[in-house]
Amino acid sequence: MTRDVFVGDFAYALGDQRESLGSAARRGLLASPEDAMKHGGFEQHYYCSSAASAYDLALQAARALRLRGSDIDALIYATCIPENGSRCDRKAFASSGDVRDLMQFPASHLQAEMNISGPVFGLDQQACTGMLGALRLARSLILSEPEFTRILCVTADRFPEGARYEQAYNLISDGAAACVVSEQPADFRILACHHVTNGAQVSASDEETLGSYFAQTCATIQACLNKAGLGIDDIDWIVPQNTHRDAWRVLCSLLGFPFEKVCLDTLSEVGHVISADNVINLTCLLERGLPEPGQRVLLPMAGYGSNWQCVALARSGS
Amino acid sequence: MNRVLVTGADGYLGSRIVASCLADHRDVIAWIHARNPVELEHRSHALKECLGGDLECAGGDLLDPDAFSTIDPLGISAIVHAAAVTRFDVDRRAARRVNVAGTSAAAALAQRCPRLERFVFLGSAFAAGLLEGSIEEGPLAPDGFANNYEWSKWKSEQVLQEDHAELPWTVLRAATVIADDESGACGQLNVVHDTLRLLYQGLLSVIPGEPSVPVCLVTADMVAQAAVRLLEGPFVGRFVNACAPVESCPTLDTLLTVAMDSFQACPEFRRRRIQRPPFCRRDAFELLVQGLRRHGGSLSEQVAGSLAPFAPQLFLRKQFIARRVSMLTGRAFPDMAALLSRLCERMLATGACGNRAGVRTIA
Ligand SMILES: NC(=O)c1ccc[n+]([C@@H]2O[C@H](COP(=O)([O-])OP(=O)(O)OC[C@H]3O[C@@H](n4cnc5c(N)ncnc54)[C@H](OP(=O)(O)O)[C@@H]3O)[C@@H](O)[C@H]2O)c1
Repeated sequence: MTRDVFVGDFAYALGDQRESLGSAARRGLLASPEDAMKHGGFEQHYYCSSAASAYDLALQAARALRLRGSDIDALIYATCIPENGSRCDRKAFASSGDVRDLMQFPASHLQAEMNISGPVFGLDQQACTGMLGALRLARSLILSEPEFTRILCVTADRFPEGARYEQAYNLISDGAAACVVSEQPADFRILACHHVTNGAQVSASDEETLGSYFAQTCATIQACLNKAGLGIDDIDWIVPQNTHRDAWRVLCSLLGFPFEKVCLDTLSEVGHVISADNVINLTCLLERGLPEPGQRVLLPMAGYGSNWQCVALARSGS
Repeated sequence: MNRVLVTGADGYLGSRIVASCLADHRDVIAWIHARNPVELEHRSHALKECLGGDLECAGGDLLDPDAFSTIDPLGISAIVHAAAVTRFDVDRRAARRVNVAGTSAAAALAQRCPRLERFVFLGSAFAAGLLEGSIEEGPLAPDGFANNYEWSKWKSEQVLQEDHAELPWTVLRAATVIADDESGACGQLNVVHDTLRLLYQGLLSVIPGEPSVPVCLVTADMVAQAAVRLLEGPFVGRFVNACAPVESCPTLDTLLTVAMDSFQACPEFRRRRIQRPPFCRRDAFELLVQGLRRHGGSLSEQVAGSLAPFAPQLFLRKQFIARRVSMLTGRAFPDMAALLSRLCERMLATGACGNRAGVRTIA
């Protein structure tokens, strides 16, 4: 791969309801003791009211970018929870028996709504790593097919009614994120992407997930650094998943990376927004006027499946 | 009659010492932990069944000030004191009452035995606490301990030295027992086996410790044999470090490599693509353990109860001087890395790795 590919124009949307950790605990949405979650850095989260869908969040995030549909060549729409990948109408299907009612693809709806004429790619089964998967796919498309120069990447999820809002020791928020991967220079140049799937751990319990978390996160980061021809000392920021703060303290100790350079700015405010965390934290970092031009950033994510992804970026500008 | 009283007689090492004594044609009184006659009856029966012979049993509870009241001191020629609370997460009070005061009580019984020739105290290599460097076969002065168990084993040595100097005692400091014998069979799960189980199950996210730290290990049969040889042998008023000499102690890194390689032979382990856990610093491991404790659950119990209280030792470079144990047993130590490999194979074969039952954490 010789040409550079960039990513920029970040936006996100959160569920329309906000509640404190205490309230989530009282409503039985946690699996862990409230204190343990609080210690992890979680204070509140966002969830969707009954009427709001994951698609609504996707639309909100995509609109926030104020793009002209005609400037976009393709749309990659990633979801974590399979049912967020289709606006399927079970009721209609029950009476019609027509599978078309099960294939109301949100990507198609979004494409139409945004006036994009290029093709859409639905991306699922990568869980919380879906957005990073979308970046990787977009980059590969741009590098391999001249018809693609500017691709909108969206991820959107809301938990179904009745769901617990704690997964693998993290407080969850419903939310969406959007960004644009392009041939033209944008906020960041993509240096490398790496993805590991260990299908044998598809049914891993939280404890098994934790059991592999540190080794696999370190290995995925290392593989990504290797692809980029970098070492951990070349990295200025890690903009990760919003996960238990101490997990990142431990990871920093293993990686030999300063914890102060891990951007978990939004952890207490939004919790773990499924596949949108990197974008949300990156937005926050940009608002702080960081990273400086030339600085390098890692975006690591872990998800069910089990999936582990990491993207290395360099801030554009001289 | 010259009889050997063995306390903790139906424990892991105690029962092996009793068996070795019997094999040596010695008369034994097996003193068993029993809080009432029914328990004594039950446990005596089980021990006799296990050892397949006639055996005089007695019992009591070291928490009881008159624990040894049923023992006639006249017939006792030697005592092996192996009874103790052996959990690393034992609280200070229980450690003091059972392990320290219990050693005092056993030594006081020894004082009353007119024909006593030897008092063997089954100590622990971890009486060295947080000491680093050479650990001689002599008195120890550690400036701290990783857990109350360690403290209690050291304090028990102090009791013998300070309060019972005139007794013919020997302290046999056992290292962590890795297996029953060279076969790799394992009749008791301790921190080594708990850690191997967590590793096999993919639940061990990090390994606390310095990769190059030597890990001091021993087999149960070596300890039992040494204990019996001490009954009328040398080393009165001395200490015996029952562990492999430092030059044959594998490092933590070697042990992890051997265990991972051994488990790779298991298709199920390979299929799950369990990663080798990275070594982590002490403060990072502490953070992890605190987090697990807050969240609760079985993993928390396993890690917090077993590995966590032991973890500080894995950062300390201890070099045990162990000249005496081979003199007693007349045997060289087995290659510990090869033994670990056999142990892992056995654990795989017997299902010990996959069993997620609650752990019984002992030193
Ligand atoms: N195994 C090792 O790796 C290792 C290493 C170094 C030193 N040691 C030392 O070796 C000795 C024997 O250990 P082990 O491995 O054989 O452990 P074990 O199997 O736990 O045996 C200890 C025995 O002491 C008994 N005991 C506990 N509390 C008692 C009380 N209040 N009153 C009377 N008896 C009581 C236990 O009875 P319950 O079963 O009822 O608890 C058990 O029978 C201990 O002193 C230990 O510190 C062992």
